[in-house]
Amino acid sequence: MRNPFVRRHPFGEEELSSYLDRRLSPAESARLEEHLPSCEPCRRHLEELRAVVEGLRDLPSMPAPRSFALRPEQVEAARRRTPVGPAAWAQRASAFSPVGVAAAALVLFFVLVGVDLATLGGGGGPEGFVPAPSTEKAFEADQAVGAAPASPSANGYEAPSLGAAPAPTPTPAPPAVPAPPLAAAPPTIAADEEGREAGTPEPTVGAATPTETPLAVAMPEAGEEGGDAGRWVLRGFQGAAGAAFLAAMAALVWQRRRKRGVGRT
Amino acid sequence: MQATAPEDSRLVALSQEGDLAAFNALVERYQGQVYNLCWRMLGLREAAEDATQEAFLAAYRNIRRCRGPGFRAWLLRIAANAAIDELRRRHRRPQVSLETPIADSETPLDLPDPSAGPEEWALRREQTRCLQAALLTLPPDQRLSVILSDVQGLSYEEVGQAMGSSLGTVKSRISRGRARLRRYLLEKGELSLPGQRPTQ
Repeated sequence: MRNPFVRRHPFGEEELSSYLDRRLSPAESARLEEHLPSCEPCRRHLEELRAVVEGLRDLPSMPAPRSFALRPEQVEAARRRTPVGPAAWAQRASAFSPVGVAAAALVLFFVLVGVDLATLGGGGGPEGFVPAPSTEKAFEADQAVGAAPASPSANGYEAPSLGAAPAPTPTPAPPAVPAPPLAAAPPTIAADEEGREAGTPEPTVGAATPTETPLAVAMPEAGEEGGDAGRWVLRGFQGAAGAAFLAAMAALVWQRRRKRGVGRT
Repeated sequence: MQATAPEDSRLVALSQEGDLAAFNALVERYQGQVYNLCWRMLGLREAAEDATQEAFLAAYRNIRRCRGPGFRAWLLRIAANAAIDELRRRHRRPQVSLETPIADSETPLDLPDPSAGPEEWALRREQTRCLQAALLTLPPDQRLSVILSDVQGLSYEEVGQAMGSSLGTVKSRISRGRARLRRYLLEKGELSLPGQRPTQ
């Protein structure tokens, strides 16, 4: 739309300009020379471009109004003006565009938040991520299962709540009694109803839960400490990325205001 | 200009050892070209002087990075950067608009050869003034390409070296710059065709 000439003629301004500088290939030059006699607009266009180029070549040369030879004191002043050390570092840093820094910081921030959510299960709430016990502790857990800490149910005690995480009772219970399911009816009833299956060694799926859960909650030291440390490092980086984003945005606003201010003077 | 390359190399080598006199010999040799480039880029004598001085200071500070035979293109690149920096500085603090036609007082030396007849002289003076005003309407990259190529007579390769651009970019900038100048001069009624000549 901007250049109807190019649409209507096989040779655009770049070809005509290159032709004037003898920069078209012989084949293209021959094609243009074949086209010109039959195309008045192309001929006129070429002549106008030629007039522009000749006018530029004929522009008078301006003699230097004075000598620009350097004096030692000028060189010394320029050397002093050249920043070194922290000033040079600051100058190089200022070459980064605040927009780029802000965008990079924002992307980094979201990536870190994504990593946080994906690996730490949304920040480790009370029912969130439970670190897996080490092999040694798993063995202890098995022993504890064998010791049936849920024995209070058989003795009429209340089932331990998740949060309470009581230590297993010192009194050993009959080993064959499986732990009652956590979500099931009150343990006493379960014990009564399933008393006939007291000898079966395999507990139900639900039955494993109360034994595992107190263990997982009762021995969080190694896993949770590592998880906490990782989480805090990750959140530190998130904070840093967020701060970098805010700083870059502030720099951008300051730069814009400064530009506007300078433009007004 | 090619014949001066060995001499340039010698002077550059001496300058790299801190010989200010040798560097000033290079200044004397190229100051006209550098000043003309800055003047055509900026259109103001004072601004052109500032940019020229800044270009030579920058060249001296960075002379260790220069290889002797390419001194001219290297210096023109520094001059182009200095002119563009000066242009930006003046756009931020526009004491005089760079788009306005240049006042006569600003162009005491920009006159065609007065040996032509008075009418021809007046006509060419007006064309010169109009062409310089047209140059100042171009974007800096196109302006620089056109000045280096058409006013200073550098080849496409030399323009590419001076601007740090590829041949394709140079070609495109020159053609777009010329096209804009043509349209500007046609709009102003200042484009006089030099008669019907053979095309090449």
